[in-house]
Amino acid sequence: MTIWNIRIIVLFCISTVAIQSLSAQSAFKVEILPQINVSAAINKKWKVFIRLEPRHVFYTDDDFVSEYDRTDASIQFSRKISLEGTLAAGYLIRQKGRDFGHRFSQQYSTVSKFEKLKLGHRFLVDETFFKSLPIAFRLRYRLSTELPLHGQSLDLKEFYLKFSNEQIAFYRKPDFDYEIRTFAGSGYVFTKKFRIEAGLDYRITNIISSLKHSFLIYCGIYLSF
Amino acid sequence: MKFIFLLSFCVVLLSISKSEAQTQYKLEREIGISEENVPEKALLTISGIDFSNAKKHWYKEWSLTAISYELKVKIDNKKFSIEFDSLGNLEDIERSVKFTMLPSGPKEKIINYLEKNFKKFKIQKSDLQWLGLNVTSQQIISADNIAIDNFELIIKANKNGKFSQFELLFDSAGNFKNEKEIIHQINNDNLEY
Repeated sequence: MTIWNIRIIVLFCISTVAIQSLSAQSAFKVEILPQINVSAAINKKWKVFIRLEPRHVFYTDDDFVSEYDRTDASIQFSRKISLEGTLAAGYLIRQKGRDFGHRFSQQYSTVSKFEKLKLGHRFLVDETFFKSLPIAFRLRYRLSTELPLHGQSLDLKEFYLKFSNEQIAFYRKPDFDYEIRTFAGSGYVFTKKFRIEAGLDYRITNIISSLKHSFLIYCGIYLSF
Repeated sequence: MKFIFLLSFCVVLLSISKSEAQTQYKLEREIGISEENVPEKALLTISGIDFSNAKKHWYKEWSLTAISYELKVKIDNKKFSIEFDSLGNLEDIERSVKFTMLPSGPKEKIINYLEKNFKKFKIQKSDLQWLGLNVTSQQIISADNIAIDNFELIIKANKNGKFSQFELLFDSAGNFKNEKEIIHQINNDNLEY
């Protein structure tokens, strides 16, 4: 792992903590975020990735509530374009109350293996269409890492730690905004086709307009065929 | 655990197409272990080495055919890997070096081989290798001028339209000896999407 990678991780952590310290009086909520992810290889280079993600709020500001928020379902097609890089494009449909939103995304991701960890970079742009709202554009960058708890590489029947930080710039006419997401959790690889991850996802949204922050209790299942 | 490991390897092999049947594969599983779990003979072999300023990490490895023990250690800024068989007999010693630091003759031969046999490639790791039959671990760690037996490379490459990782072995003159495709059972979906 290079000194620059370490610097980037430290910079992201500092930025997240700094924003958090400025946001003590802002709106706050806790949500549950289960996720099912299924991927399947189409051929040597192409792959399809499907995700289902319902969301449920159970704490907001000072009150416990039980409120269904929304469900996202998405599909992405990806193609391996280099030794470590993958291009993907996808579509997401969001159901929130009686409304449906649509999102198109394009991404480039790369995963590098170091002596004891894997480091993933994801660059993503997306466009969201919601009834009666102008189109929203987002520019996202996520740095994530996976650290095995036994040995130098992650094997079957092993636990690992996962950390990620994502910076998101948002534009919906006429407003710009910014969001930061930080995740810390762990996972377990059952078989080469099945793994589970769980952890805490901390999100600071609407940093420029009206600061909100939320904790998401995340549990994801990954299946691959 | 070993049964599950072997079973999953068989599933991987069965899924490989007929055209790739000649390729050799490498599938390993390793866990960190404490020194008490290392065969006595292996500990005896390295007993003459001065590890006072070094951090030692022992690993137990399972491959398709055998169990082995590996000591990874950094001494004087040099990374060594000393491998023993299941009984503690010294198999080989490897020292990580930058590929650019290899002698120019073998290096050029290796590059020619890679360019001829892979569409795209990236050298991820290069090791000097001494076989356990020819040397002692103490000789390798304390001296710089002992003739090597092999160069071992780990590369990521595109071969026949597929991106994979390979372990390649070349002799001390840079002549190709062996190629194994490294099988990764775990995908990167959680980091890519």
